[in-house]
Amino acid sequence: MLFCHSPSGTVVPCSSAGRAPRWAPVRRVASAMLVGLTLLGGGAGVAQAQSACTVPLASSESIVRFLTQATFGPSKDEICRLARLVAREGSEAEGFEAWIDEQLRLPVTPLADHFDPDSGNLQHARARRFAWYEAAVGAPDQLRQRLAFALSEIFVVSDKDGTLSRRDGQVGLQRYYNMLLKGAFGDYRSLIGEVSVDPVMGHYLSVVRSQAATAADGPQPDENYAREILQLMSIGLDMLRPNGEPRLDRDGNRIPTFDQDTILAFARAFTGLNYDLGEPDDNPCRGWGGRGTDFTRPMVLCERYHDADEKHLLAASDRSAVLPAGQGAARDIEDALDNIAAHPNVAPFLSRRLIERFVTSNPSPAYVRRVADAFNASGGRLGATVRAILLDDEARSERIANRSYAGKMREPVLLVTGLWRAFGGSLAGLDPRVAAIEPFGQAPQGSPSVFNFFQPEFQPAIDTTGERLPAHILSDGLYAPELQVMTELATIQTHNDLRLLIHGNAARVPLAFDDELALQRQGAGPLVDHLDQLLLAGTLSDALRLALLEILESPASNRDWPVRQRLYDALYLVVTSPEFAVQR
Amino acid sequence: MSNATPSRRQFLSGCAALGAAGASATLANLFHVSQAVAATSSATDYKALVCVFLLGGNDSYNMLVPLGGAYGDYLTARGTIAVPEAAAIPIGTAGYAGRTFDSRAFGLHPALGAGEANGGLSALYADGCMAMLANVGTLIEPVRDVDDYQSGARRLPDYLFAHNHQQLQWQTADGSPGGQGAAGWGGRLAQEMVRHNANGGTLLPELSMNISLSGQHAFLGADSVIPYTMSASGIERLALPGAEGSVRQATLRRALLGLLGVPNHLMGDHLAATKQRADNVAELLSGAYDATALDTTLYPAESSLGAQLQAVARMIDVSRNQLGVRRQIYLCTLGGWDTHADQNARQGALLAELGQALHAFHASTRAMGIGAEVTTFTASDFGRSFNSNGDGSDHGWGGHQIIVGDAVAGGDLYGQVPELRLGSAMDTGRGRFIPSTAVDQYAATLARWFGATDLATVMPNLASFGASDLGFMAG
Repeated sequence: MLFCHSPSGTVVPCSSAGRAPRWAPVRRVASAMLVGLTLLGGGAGVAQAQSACTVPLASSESIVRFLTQATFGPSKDEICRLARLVAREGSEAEGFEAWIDEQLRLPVTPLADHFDPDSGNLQHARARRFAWYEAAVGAPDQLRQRLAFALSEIFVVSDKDGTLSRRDGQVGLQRYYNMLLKGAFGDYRSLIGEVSVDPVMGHYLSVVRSQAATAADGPQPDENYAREILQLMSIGLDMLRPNGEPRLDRDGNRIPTFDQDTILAFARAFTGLNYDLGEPDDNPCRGWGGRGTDFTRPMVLCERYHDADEKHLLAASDRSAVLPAGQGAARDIEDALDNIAAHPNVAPFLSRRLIERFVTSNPSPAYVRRVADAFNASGGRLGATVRAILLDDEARSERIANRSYAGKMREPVLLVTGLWRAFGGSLAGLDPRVAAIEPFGQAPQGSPSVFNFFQPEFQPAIDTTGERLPAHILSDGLYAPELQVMTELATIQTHNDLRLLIHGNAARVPLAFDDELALQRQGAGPLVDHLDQLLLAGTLSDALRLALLEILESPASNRDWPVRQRLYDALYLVVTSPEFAVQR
Repeated sequence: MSNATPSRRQFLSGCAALGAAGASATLANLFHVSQAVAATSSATDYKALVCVFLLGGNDSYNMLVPLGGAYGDYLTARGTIAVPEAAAIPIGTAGYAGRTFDSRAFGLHPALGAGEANGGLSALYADGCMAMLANVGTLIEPVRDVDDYQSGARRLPDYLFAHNHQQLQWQTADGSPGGQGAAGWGGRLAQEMVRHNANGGTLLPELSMNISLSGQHAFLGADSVIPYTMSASGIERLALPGAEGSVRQATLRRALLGLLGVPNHLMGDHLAATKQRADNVAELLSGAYDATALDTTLYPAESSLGAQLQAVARMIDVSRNQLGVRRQIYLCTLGGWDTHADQNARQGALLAELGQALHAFHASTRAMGIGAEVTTFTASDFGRSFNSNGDGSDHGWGGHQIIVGDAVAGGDLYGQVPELRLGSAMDTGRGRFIPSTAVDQYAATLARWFGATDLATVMPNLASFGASDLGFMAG
């Protein structure tokens, strides 16, 4: 049904307006104005007048879009900060660049220690997730936080593992995450160096206490980490061109990056790693063969169980593929990681993985190439890589953002953090034991396997968009990774979770709606414009606009449908809509 | 079993006869259907296939252990991850005597006999309600032996030994590398059933013939089949603010459903269509689903697979009795099988859970009187390296699978068990054995039982292999 504005400003079905042309279809009230969004900022009951700002409508859309990509969701304070930078620098492009550079210089906000040693496994899991949400929503170093989350979906460890689900494991998972936070802007080679000797990874992909074979038909080294670091964390399965497209051989076939022998060689290079069960000068072989673990310190090297023979690694790498015999475990591991990091696939492979996490599921090869170039030019620095990702024309162009397949889906936790950050939500001071922070269909560091919650190449089995849109996911060869977790079941659960975060549940994170209530008093139009700007970067569809106006202007009595509930309901309709689920 | 052809297998097993008469009487009180359901029950022609996918790659060389003369080679290759010979549960050789296994003895992993309440899978095998298919895996064409494998003359599946790709190829099995978005053979089978007989498929456009209890996997989807994904904990409905029946709630419901039909963005629209289907099914079925009552005492406690199979049983009950649905394909999964480390403890626990859950589900189907109409079968990414890595095993290729149901010619082994020795003719390295039977043949045997007549459409690469009926289905 089409809705129209009546002359008095209320919304009625267009059909009841007959054919009277004076009732124009509903339009955005502020569409041609430069007054735009007024943001008062601050949390409930906290006066933060300094963050109040007025952003010209045209800028607010690109600012909100940028912050949706670069943070856990645009907060009013961050919108104002970026608006001031844009004003100071004189252009959006320079303002965004200044914001990124500011972010690159901010100190790390590590996840806070909320673990209660006297509590059990489940409370430890809760404490870890609470700390994660607390930082995602409240930490000033948003770009680093968002990048660490992206890295946690590439260098995957998960508490779905039995050992890591327990207390020590949960504490270890958080320390691992803090390691990702710390190294997020640094270089790739250093990061895989830390990941490869981390005891949480050591356990998760069972490289810890993998030992050299003593007989040809006896036990061989564990191949798990060797395979997955190659397949998922560095070079992938196919040889790539610098733009991320697969290289093809003369017959048009893809060229594998490695075979089983390569994996076994890496597995041999990674032998001898042990938990650090003692003082630094203690015997690093202590506890080998036992069940003792340590998730607090990097693994140590036990030469006795390291494979000392020569190893042949990735020949396509720019660094030597041959590890000479007898050079020791430490040198073997360093050389093996050098061999991986210098493989030409790393730049396009990792660039594409990161673009998918920040901007779009379907980058053009040229975009991947530009980011890969930035990766290489910076010596593999991830901060510089993300800078290139966010400032690229393909990330910034509104023309591209308006395509029917632009951007990506917001995964469930991003829906939640987006809602919270928009309305001053903060977990500071809440009780980690009871706050409503889960499950949201996804828990950080809680994926079912090392293949993350979803896979980059996911395509649904069928195109359901029919003839309605000019492009299709499957038949046009597009990808939609996040759709993998958005099943019938998940759509309902996510919807119901979001309802509780807005309407229900005493344990919910408190949100501040002072600005919105003030706008609501001015009329439905200004409030809808504001929600459009703040949550959807100005992309609100006519259909959703009409639905919101209908709610806000329903003739139902105030007793039956109180004003404040209408605001909540309008917000609920926005955040549960398919529009909010997409990050363009 | 009314119109099944009697076979040698049934004589041997007796499972079907027991299932139809004796057992259902004794188990009658397991399943308490509501009055309404009981009154309307009895679709005459119903069949369900239930795939239990073991995510991560089950080390099936410990599920079926060689005994006697072959145990020495097994122990050499496996070392500390070997199942002690005395602990394995020997399975009778009567069933397969005279075929490829003669003079070879096998035992089941002791955890398959676990469960004081139900005796796990070894009891089902002994009763003839469970069969095993040996050394089945992903293939494009037969690969005779390791020389053939290395010759370069054989087309091999892409990305052997990689979890995600091998899962896809197991689930798509159409002779292609099977990328994301490819149709699953469960999807193609459903499509085929609908195409040949409208009444053989679901009568309801709202509810797909194919239902997943564990998220999206390629297996169930095809061009015209959108699987329905539900939770083991039931069918949740959209929660709306406001009082039931209020203007507020009605307005919100109309608004949010209306938005789902408005084109906006490729991915958003896909999500909207999914949400629309979810709401349709929830409104249609959640009440009836909640009204089913299942005796859950036999299911393993706190088991993900147990909960999924319980939900399947309830969904079968609702679909069959209240909706008149006649064919369904379900997918359940159980993760954790990627046992590179700590295999003895981890795989033992998983096998115990698997065995008890399958046993309990089989009892549920019998209690519903459809023990012979429901066939449950396992699949997994790959088998694992026969060679140990110290306390686990690494990614392999061929592996053994389990088939359970009263229509199964059980108490028997099918396919071929390769010579279980490192360096044997089928060993591509570290005991990653070349499959001697293709997934395509496994699937075709199940599809034929399910009622598919055009097997080449369901399994387009079937002609590349020998037998299209491996013989493990009696009914």
